[in-house]
Amino acid sequence: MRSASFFLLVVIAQTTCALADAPRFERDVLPILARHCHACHGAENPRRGLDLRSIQSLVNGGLSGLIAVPGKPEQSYLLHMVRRETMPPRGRSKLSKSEIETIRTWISGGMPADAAYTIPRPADAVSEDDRSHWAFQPLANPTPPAVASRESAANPVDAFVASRLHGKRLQLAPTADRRTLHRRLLLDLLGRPPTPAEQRHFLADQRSDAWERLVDATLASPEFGPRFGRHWLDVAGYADTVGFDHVPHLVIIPEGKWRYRDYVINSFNDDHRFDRFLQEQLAGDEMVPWRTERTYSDETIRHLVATGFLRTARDQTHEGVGVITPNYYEVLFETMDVVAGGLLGLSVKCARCHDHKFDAIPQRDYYRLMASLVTSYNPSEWRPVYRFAPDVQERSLADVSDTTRREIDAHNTNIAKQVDVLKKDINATRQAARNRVRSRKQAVIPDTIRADTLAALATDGAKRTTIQKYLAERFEKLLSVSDEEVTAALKNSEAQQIATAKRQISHLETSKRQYGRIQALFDIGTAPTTFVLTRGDHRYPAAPVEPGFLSVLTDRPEESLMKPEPRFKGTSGRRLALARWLTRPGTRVSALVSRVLVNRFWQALFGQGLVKTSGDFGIQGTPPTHPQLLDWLASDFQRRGWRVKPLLRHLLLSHTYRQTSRPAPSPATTHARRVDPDNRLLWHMPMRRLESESIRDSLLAVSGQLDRSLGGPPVPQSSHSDGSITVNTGALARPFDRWRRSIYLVTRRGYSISLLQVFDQPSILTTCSTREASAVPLQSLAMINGPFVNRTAERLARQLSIKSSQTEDGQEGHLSIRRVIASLYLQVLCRPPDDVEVDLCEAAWAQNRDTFVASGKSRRESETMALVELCHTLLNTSEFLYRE
Amino acid sequence: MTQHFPHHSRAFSRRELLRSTSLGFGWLALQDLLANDAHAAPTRRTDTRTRVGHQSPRAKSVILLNMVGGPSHMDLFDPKPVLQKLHGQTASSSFETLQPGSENKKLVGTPFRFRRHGQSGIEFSELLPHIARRADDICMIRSMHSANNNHPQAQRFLQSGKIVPNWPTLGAWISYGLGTENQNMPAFVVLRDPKGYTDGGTNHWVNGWLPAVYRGTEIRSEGDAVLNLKPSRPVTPEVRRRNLALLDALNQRRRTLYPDDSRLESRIRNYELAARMQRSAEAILDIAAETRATQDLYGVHSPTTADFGRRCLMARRMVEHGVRFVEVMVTIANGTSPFDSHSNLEPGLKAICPRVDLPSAALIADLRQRGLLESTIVIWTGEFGRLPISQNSTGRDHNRHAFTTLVAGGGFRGGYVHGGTDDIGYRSVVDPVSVHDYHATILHQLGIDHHELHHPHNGRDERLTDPEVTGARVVRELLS
Repeated sequence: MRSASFFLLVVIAQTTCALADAPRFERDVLPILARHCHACHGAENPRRGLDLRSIQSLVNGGLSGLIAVPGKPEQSYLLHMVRRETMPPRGRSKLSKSEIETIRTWISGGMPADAAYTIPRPADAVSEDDRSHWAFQPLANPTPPAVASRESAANPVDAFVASRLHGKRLQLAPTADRRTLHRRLLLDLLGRPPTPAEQRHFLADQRSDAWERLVDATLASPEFGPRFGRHWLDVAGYADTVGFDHVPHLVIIPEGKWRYRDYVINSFNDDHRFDRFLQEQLAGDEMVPWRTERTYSDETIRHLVATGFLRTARDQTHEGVGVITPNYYEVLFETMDVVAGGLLGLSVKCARCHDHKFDAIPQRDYYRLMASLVTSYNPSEWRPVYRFAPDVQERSLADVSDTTRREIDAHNTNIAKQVDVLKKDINATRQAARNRVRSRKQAVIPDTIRADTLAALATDGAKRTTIQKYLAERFEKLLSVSDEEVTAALKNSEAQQIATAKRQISHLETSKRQYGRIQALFDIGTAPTTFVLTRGDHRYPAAPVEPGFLSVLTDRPEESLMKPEPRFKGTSGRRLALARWLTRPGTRVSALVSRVLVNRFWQALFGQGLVKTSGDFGIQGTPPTHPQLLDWLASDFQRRGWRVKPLLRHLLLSHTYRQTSRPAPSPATTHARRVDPDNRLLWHMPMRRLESESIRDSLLAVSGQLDRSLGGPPVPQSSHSDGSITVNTGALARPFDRWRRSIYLVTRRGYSISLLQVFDQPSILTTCSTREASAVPLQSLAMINGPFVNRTAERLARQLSIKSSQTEDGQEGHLSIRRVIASLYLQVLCRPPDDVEVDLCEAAWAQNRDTFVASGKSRRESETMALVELCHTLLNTSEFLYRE
Repeated sequence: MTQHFPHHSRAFSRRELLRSTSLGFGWLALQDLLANDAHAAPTRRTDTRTRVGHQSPRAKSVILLNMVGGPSHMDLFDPKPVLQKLHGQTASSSFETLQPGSENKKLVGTPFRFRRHGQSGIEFSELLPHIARRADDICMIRSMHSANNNHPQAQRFLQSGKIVPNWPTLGAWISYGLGTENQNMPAFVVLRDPKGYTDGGTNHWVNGWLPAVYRGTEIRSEGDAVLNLKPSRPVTPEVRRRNLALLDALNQRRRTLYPDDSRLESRIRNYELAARMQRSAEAILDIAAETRATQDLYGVHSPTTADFGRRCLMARRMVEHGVRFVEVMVTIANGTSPFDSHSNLEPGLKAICPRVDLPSAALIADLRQRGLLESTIVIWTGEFGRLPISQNSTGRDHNRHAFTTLVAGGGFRGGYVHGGTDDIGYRSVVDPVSVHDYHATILHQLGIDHHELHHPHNGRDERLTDPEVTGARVVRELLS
């Protein structure tokens, strides 16, 4: 895999010397090496191919690569080896401090030597063969093929799909009916079915471009963001919680983490340029001058919030038991998985411990990439997610500038002081009144024992003498003064004085200013040297690496090194350089990034990507079914300014998307089924099960309960002793919160509310590319027995009976059940029932009604109860759970 | 219905499978068809049909009695005469500790007496007299060691071979490898104390990235056995039947539009399966069906042993009915793990041991008497041991370097003590057995070659034992 050729690149003949006492190789360094190293690294067969007898052989390095970089001691393996005392090995004499210092000064001085020497160009870490993998190629810009059939010529997507189909003597299926399309579109784009009113509106639109109008209106809906944002949050591995999150009832939610979720949703709603979106998420903090700004602009806050993308790893470092440093590295490793898996569709985690076996990712490249993260996830200046102890600095920022924060803090301290004074006044006034009451009460005690009693009460309980105990017991209650008595004893003037003070206090309290927090990522301290870690273990650092990129995605070895250009003070510029590298048009890497992205969006609409393994574009992933289409979409995406909505619009207007999911039985269908049983070539629209969130949101929507508001802190959950988890209705900020979209419920690693859990809500460790869509009996149990679906059925029934008794003429109080069944079908399944279905439903409803009547219920009550049963049954149909 | 390894081969066509539904399709059996709704042809196995392993198995099922908290090996299973002699002295060596309180390094012997039991003469402390009576059934591994000395990490290590969360656990791997024999029950069942979770929550039975069907299903020993098993709104059987009939009719009509899509068929079946599971689970878990003598054997009617006894008895009934893996969690006390003896070691152990001792022994005896012990591996273990030095003057801190695991049945060598610790019980030094070795050996007895049981995850074929990295091996000395 590796090409081992050493190519001589730079010729250095540094024979002149600026300072007389600056160390030189032959005079100062060679004797040290001779003393300590030549026994092994100077013989005929030098160990590990490293010969330290001449300047040229030293710079040539050995099997472990280059060992010294002129001018960069911290990047020089040689220095680290002797400083760590890894070399000379155990049993040999170590270098003295001054010897090590000589070597360090010599390297930082540019490694002057008497003899001329040349620095070899580092071996290319990967071969041309490695780079030839399809996913690593720059984007081809294919022309859509000419296709004969009428319906597929207009849209390039159709042209590509049809041409692949024609190659197998297959064709696109006819368009689905409008009702099916409407439901499909809304479930795909908004995660809920259309309401009867929306259905009427679309069906009434007879214009030729009605579909296009519907697509545009739906893409413009504010409900689009929460649905498509969720796809991206899967990629980011977002959770509202901190750490492993492995105890059901213990939920730790860092302040303001949800703002990243809202940033994602808003970016989708605003159709924010995706290249900018990626840059902000990787390096928002490096793109705005927040460190020096006097007041944060909205843009500044948005950029800082965006870096929440890099804050999704399961950061466990607030748990201070024993194993801190490995936990730091776990955060780094997991963030690497999110970045590489999420953006590049590559699983890099093998390269943490060794060169990747399948994909051409040398271990060195892994750590070069990780060097972009260590400036902020700095192991030597670590910050945990929150302050678990007073002396700990947390890894979050105030959402106001330092200046503003200091102003606010000062302002609030000042108010607190004023409040304290007022409170003291109130206490003093009340104390005076209390003393008056007490003296009055003391007068009741006979004179002879008054002094003794008071002394007894003043003595600590345990130290009282027997007599004192007796006295205390006798009079304690009598002499105690309650708050109510004090209030009653206040003079008018005193009471007024206190009331005024209280008003002032509440006024002052409301004038306190507040600020929130942002769970951001930003550079901290000085960038540490990054090392290749032997077997991925931080205790065994090997050679130092410079910040860089994956060689296999660059054209030449030099390009794989990063040249950061920090824009603002206090930042290394490394993540910004990474973000720009990923999104620079015309490169191998941006080609891969856009391919991975458009494939994800394709998957969001068709249920399966053109590359089926949407999280693995490497050697082990599946190649695309339509490589040309993938490249065409990716180029088009870049050309149109990395905008998602135009991309989706393009797909949605295609015939491919509008195909029916159930082609009529015909010889052609039989042929298609035989040739392509898995429908990889898209000869019909794949039917798919709704995702967990869509199931819950749809249940809420069809029963008229869905709360469509956007944004804000997550809705809390509670876990019950029976193992179930529900929305915590006792702790809601607003009563309607229980009906919010599922994306706004608290997102956890392993504990979603039971209904979502049973429908495969993923428990995301790092990044998630595909959702499971299982069908287990527990789902049937949840749908037919679970309390949520039962309540939904009840609300749905109530809604229908109110509506129908309103529209019913004459027969007030009785349901025209056939009409109700028709409404129910429109509401739940977005289509009218056929006659057989109406008959079946009516018969079951009538029988159930009679059963209820027979059990002693009134006819009216029985009708409603039977309607609840019917609604419940309709919600349980498989049709409701599938998008056709 | 058996399917052979390797996993990727599919012995049945979807059609054949569908036809076979009439022959007793059961619990999750359609998973193969439903592997991933979005994909028509599943490539990974996600069902629980019975499968055979790589070699002929000695055992069919596993019952793991999980003693979360770190039972003190030198007070229960591993007598240390030298430690007794050094009692009260300050140790000169150093110890890895977790919490403060052990700084003075005062060595403490056990306050409990040890005695030999059975023909094999294995020594047990006086705290576990009933388990001791099963000495000749028990293979005692005195040289276990772990990778981390904190509970959550060490429990995860014991269960999944990794200290990080959400990797598949032993029960999940075994269910994945072998499926299960009773299609009306989950393959992997968990019985926890109804009072709550132990440290680590549900992490003890996660499926990790294995398909969700292999996750341990919590079955409750009180109230309803499975979540949503009963309707949340009272429905008379008549109405329920009518509703299901209507649902079936509506679903069947819709299904005809998708003649080739098995998923809709499966959805329909699921409602039948759910109903069957309801009946089946209730019958299996009904310990009132046992004789009074059996109930008494497990101590079901004594307050001390009632909780753990009930659950051990339920475990036996499940194994009897073909459940593959049952995990019984230790009884909890005051919301914590009672074996976690940081202080008050003596009263603490005196309180917990009687709660688990009789039921654990009863389980072994009962299985033996019913001829089930040969095919059932019973494991009694915690996640680590405890230190030979005193903590907070009355307790012992965690010790990952040594602990004792008991295994009975399933072809393990009864009446045998394997390996040993150093003089003070700090480190496993004689024939040490790693958690990975233990996993490999359990799998081996079930007929699974631990090298061969794998599942792709993020571009790597992962295995429970990861033998190239961990050096895991089957410990043949443990086997009869």
